[in-house]
Amino acid sequence: MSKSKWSRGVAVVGAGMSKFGAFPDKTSRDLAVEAFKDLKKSMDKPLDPKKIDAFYLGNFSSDQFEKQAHFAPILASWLGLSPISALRVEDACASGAVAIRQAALAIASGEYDVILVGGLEKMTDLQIAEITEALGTAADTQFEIPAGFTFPGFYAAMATAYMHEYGADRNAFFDVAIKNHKNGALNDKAQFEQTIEQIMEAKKARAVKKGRRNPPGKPTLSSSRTRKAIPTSPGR
Amino acid sequence: MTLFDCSPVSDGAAMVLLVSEDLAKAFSDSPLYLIGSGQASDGALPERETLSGIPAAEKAGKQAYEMAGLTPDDIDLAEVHDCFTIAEIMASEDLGFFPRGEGWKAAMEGKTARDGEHPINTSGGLKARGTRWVLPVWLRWLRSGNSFTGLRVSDSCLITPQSA
Repeated sequence: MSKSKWSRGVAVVGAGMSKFGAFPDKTSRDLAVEAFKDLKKSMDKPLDPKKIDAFYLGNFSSDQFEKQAHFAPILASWLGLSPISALRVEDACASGAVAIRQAALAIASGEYDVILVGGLEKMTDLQIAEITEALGTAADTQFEIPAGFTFPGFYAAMATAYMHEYGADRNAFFDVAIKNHKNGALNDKAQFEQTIEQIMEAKKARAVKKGRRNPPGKPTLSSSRTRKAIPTSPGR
Repeated sequence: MTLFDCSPVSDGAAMVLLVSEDLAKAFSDSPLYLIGSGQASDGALPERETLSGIPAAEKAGKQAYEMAGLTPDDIDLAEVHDCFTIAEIMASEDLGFFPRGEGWKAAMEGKTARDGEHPINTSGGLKARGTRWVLPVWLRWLRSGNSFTGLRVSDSCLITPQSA
């Protein structure tokens, strides 16, 4: 059982992130520097990097995606923090969140006072089949993967079970996508700063430009209610 | 599932700076305090007792709520793992925002929209923002003057900061 109280409290005093997307001309070190600069900019008091006791990196698989293992010490050095304690936390898609939790527990224990927690992935340098194979190593490679599962397959199985159990309308899934893309369109760091409608229109325009005979039609976005005007993010 | 049910593969990085509570004011005039956290992990799919929810997310959520002394209705904003659209719907039930089997209706009724009763993934989620690491996005929003309790979950881990 987890205890419900920590022996001392933990606070977040800075946060930053790089732009997300597919960046063939950037290394993951570039992205880490971008995020670190953004973090420093977020702070209302100047940060003295010498005060950082440790660097925890949430990362699923730099060894597979970039052929670079032992990435935390390399990045800590790149950020000018060496020789502080640096380690990588791997817990599949939860790697970043678990790194935050592990850092918080290390501070709560009294061992460290200040920890920089990073989360980083550079996934797009590989071909799709290689990416699928790399992500598949988060599943049970003895029983699940040989049976033909990939991650889209896992979630399709869950979606099928959910629809079977609760009689869910498939359009509910699409409503989630429409909503999240609508939100992403307001986020200047998002990979897609576009609504689904804008993405579909752009696709159609590209198809027309290439002279395709039957470009995709205007998308019909089924939405079960008339949504109110979406307020703009206060951060923008 | 279709293309639009899937989140993209991405390049990106994010960072947060954590300090002990007693040092917080030395680093920032407006620190955020972590008030709840939990973690649980599920095994392989055939080993799970259900396929229509994520038992680990439910357990991690309960731990975090207990530590924070909050209930799902106290949460003003949630960032959850939406690697595929079904994952967000299951998480909205696992974390207690909606009863079992009701999450899909809530999504259709707009209850998880920015102006809904339980806003989820206002950053765009993995679906639109890109895979991994949402926390800093809404921390920035917290910093820009909003005051609310937030919550983040990613399959097996959850943290609930609250504005100071």
